[in-house]
Amino acid sequence: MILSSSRRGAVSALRRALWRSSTSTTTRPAFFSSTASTPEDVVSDYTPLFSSNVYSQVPEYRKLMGPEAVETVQLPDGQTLLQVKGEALRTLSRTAFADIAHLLRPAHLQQLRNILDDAEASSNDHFVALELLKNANIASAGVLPGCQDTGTAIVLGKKGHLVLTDGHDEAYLSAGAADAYRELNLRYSQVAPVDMFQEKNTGNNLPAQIDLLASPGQEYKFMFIAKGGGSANKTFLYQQTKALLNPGSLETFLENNIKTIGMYYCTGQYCVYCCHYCFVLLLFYRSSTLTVDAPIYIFCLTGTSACPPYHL
Amino acid sequence: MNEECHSLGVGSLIYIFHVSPRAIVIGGLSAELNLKTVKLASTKFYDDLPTTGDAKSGRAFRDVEWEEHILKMTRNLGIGAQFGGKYFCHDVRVIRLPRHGASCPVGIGVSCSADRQVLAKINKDGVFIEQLETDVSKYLPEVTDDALSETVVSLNLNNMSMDELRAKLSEYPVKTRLSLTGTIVVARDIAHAKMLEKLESGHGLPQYAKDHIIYYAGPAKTPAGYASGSFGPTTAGRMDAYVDKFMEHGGSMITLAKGNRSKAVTKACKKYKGFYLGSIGGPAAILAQNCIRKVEVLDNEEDGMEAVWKIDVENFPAFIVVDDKGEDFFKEWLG
Repeated sequence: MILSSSRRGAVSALRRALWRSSTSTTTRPAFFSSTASTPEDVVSDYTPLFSSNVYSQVPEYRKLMGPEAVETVQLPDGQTLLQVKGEALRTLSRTAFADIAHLLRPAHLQQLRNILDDAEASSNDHFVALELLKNANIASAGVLPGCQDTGTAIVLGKKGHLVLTDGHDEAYLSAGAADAYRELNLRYSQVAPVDMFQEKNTGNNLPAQIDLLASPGQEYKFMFIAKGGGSANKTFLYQQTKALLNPGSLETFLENNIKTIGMYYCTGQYCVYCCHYCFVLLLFYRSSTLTVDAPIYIFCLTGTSACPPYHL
Repeated sequence: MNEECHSLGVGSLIYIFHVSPRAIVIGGLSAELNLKTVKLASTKFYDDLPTTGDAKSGRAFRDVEWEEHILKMTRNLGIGAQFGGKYFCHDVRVIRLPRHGASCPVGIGVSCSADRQVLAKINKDGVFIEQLETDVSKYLPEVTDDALSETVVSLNLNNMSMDELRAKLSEYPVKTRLSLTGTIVVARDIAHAKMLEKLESGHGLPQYAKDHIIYYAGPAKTPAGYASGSFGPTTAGRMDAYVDKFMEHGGSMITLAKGNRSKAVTKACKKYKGFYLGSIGGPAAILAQNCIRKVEVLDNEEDGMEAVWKIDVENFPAFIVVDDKGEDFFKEWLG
């Protein structure tokens, strides 16, 4: 853009004003909304949108690699940088996807066990909980995965500001995921669009979905998720308005929509309920009023390759 | 078609069953923030959020009151109460987010495949991953006497060959209680991997794998004055992959452990006339004190508790889980 000399003068006057205001605490233009004056104040004034640290609540960590997997670099100002090797990222990713394909959290298994021990639970509750435990038991051997849909590999990372890598974090994490899916008895579920209509399986379960974020500190934190298609398809977004935000409206809204999602499992067709190990196949009779009247037939099937002993 | 479902009767088994949370997120600075929060909440990533809102910062919070409310609501919806039993949707997360005044995204989602996620961290001490549960069998209910036969068959293992023992077991159905006395060989993961190596390099299986019952276990340290440390069975499933191959070469014909096993084992037992025996409920320590008379290393001493051990047992309680006809006790067991 070409500015007239008078406008150029005005711009530089504004710049000078801004510079002054950012270096002095007395004259501050109104569009600096924060009242904080020092960097320390800015930080202490800030409230993160999600004040959560689930990492501190993990009951037990397993050490995969010792300090040899990382290096520390001292800066002149005394701060220590943590240098993470690509191989460590790859090994971690591989191990994580191997673990979650076969193993569950202890708390989750305990929940299932509690159902078995609960005298008030129905015989259906007991049956399903026991089947899930038996399935988990077979899967824990590390040969057969807990579910045949071994999912999309998703990595969420939070990289501390004092963590250094060679910059190719995504490549290493992706390679680790591919290692797990290739070396173990997992399924390749990703299909690439060749053009708008033709698709082809990528043959290694890549691409992975990798989201890397920044955070303060000298730690690199991760969550690895294997997300199957079944539950992903049951995620819904509703664009609402302020009118929803009162107890009556919210309750009606949730009741209607949770019911609809519940019905999603039983829309009068075969439906593999795969959010939990895919082992119940339901065929419902659906009346014209969209309510489930009665099931006309029920099969159990081995949705999972890990539970065939009981279902084939 | 599954026999179990039939035995329950058509109409009795309809399941919408949630152990993992269903997540409901109300608000969001954008539609995509809303759905991302749905996903993370369903993995329990935001379980430790504050439980109150804040007018100044607009931070996200978990509305525990509405979680309770929705839980009650879903129980009365019909789907759960009518068919599912008590445990329809028994875990809900409700998160309220700040929003642009002109829009109010609401997201609803469910967690997939029972908590299939893991947390990890890298710091100056190395690389760490959340420990998931490797021993699932401890969550399985113990098989107690009342599920088993009333009569107990006593077997003296040292008086019979493996063939004679199998012929004897073949006379009894699954769930028959046994009382074992004599020599048993103990081997677990590493020992099995080494046996497979020997087999594949043409050296065959060790004789002890052919002559004795194989007990999948690893002992804890032996306290002074005791014949054995705690010596409970480990999860059999990890050894499933070896069974067919070893049976084909005359080994592992009778195995002993706890928990159910995969179909491959049942097939192998039927094909090669083998058996899988289960231990009966009761803490491992009781087994050691009451039944194990002598423990000595037989092979692979360098592997510590993973070595191959030879133990002498007396009245060791067990029962037939899988027989040589392809029957599986756990198939019909409803706990």
